[in-house]
Amino acid sequence: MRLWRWLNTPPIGGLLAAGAIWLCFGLVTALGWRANVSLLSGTLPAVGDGVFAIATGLLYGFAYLMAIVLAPILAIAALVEAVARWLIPSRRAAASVDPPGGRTSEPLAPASSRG
Amino acid sequence: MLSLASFVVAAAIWLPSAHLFFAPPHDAYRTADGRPGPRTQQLVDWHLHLWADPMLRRAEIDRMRRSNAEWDFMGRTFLVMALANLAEREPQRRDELLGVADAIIDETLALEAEYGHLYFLMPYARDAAFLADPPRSVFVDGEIAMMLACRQLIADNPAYRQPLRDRVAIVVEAMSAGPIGSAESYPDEGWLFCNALAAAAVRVSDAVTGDDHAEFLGDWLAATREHLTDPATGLLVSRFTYDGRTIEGPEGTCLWLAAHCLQLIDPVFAEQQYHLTRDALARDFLGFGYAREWPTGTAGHADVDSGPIVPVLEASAGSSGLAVLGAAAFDDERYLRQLLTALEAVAFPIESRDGLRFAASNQVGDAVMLYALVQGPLWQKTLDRVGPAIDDGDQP
Repeated sequence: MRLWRWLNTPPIGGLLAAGAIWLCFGLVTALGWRANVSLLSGTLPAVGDGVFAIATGLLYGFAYLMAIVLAPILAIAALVEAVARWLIPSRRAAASVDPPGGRTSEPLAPASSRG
Repeated sequence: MLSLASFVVAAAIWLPSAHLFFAPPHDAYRTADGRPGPRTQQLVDWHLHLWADPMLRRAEIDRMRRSNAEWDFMGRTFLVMALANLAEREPQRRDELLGVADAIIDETLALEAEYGHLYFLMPYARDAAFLADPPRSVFVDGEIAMMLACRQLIADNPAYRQPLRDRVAIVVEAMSAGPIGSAESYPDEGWLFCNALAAAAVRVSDAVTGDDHAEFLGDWLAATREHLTDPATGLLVSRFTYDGRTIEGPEGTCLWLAAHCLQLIDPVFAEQQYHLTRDALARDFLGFGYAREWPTGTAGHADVDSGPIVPVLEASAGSSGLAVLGAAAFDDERYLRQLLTALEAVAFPIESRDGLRFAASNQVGDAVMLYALVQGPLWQKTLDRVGPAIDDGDQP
């Protein structure tokens, strides 16, 4: 439960997800599957090259797409969310201080609702 | 809600800036003064390695021929053109580069002699009879003439003098005999790609031999403009019957190369065609350049020339590759940079000690890319010696 809460604390979860994607991409790159992408160039007769080569070429293409599109967005989103959560409570805390006209009616959100 | 908003913000930050991480350094492919950059040099290394290793070459050629025998042939043509440009630019490597070019030309001529004139064509070339007599393909004759002419323009090889004259004579005779001044590539099927390249080969040959085919080339271009201009776009059509009926309208894979070839025939018209093609086909998505195969609203079907078409964007691998040639030939630096950025991102470059190649491409694709990045000296030398066939530079 504590681990789950920790994983859900921005930016930990997002950065770990992005890292996992990059790790998978690094793995398929290390396995040399990048070369099999040539099988995906449309009109090549991929059947003659074997199912394994076709599958690994496809897998590499998918991992690459995830690594250059999804992973960076996840990582940036995690950081953006962490900063936003850090800023919002501060602002609320600032707003909760008695203004000249009287108290603000908005209470601070309980810590447990931030996850 | 905050997580979703963060994701949207992150996407808005990353997607428009991703191209910055793929954009090659300015001098990586081509220096400011047009010399090949280090990445282009790596491409050269890969091709030289490929031709130095018979087993590897055989495997690559067999692989291409399984899809399209034309690729085997075009890969040779573009590589010889690239090597000739490099040899002109780097005199200290001339012997090495021309040695490889000669090996390619000799093997190509030997294969044609052994297996026949149709060896480098797709099987349907044998399904019907050519209408012209003698039955020949301007695709084969034009590109062989181009290889010989480019090689001879750099340095004279006595063994190629007569073959060049013979091949150019065949091309001129075949095109002159055509009802619209163009010859067949396949039975009752002419291609702008092949005829434009053959016309350019004749002009390069003029610069070698001192002959002057300006009148013939002027007539060819006049007939081409009259019969093969698409009224909707002003672009030249790609495929037509022997008597000039359009089979397929404008296509990127033909137009980028045709505009480059037309620089030797009529530079003003070439420039017009390039800009029309650019307006109709060039696109930029989040900083990544690409090209469509067909103008918007024009129906077309993907084939071995267009390569796979990316849905929604309508990006064509074949057209985008040849767009690099167009952008480089017409010094369209901005578009060239966008195209090279996309190349780095989605063509899957593979670097090794043997050089640089693109996994999503093949030998012909890499050879087109190499030629695009080193072209210039050969065309310039031709223009310096004989000028364009039509010099209407003063016209608006």
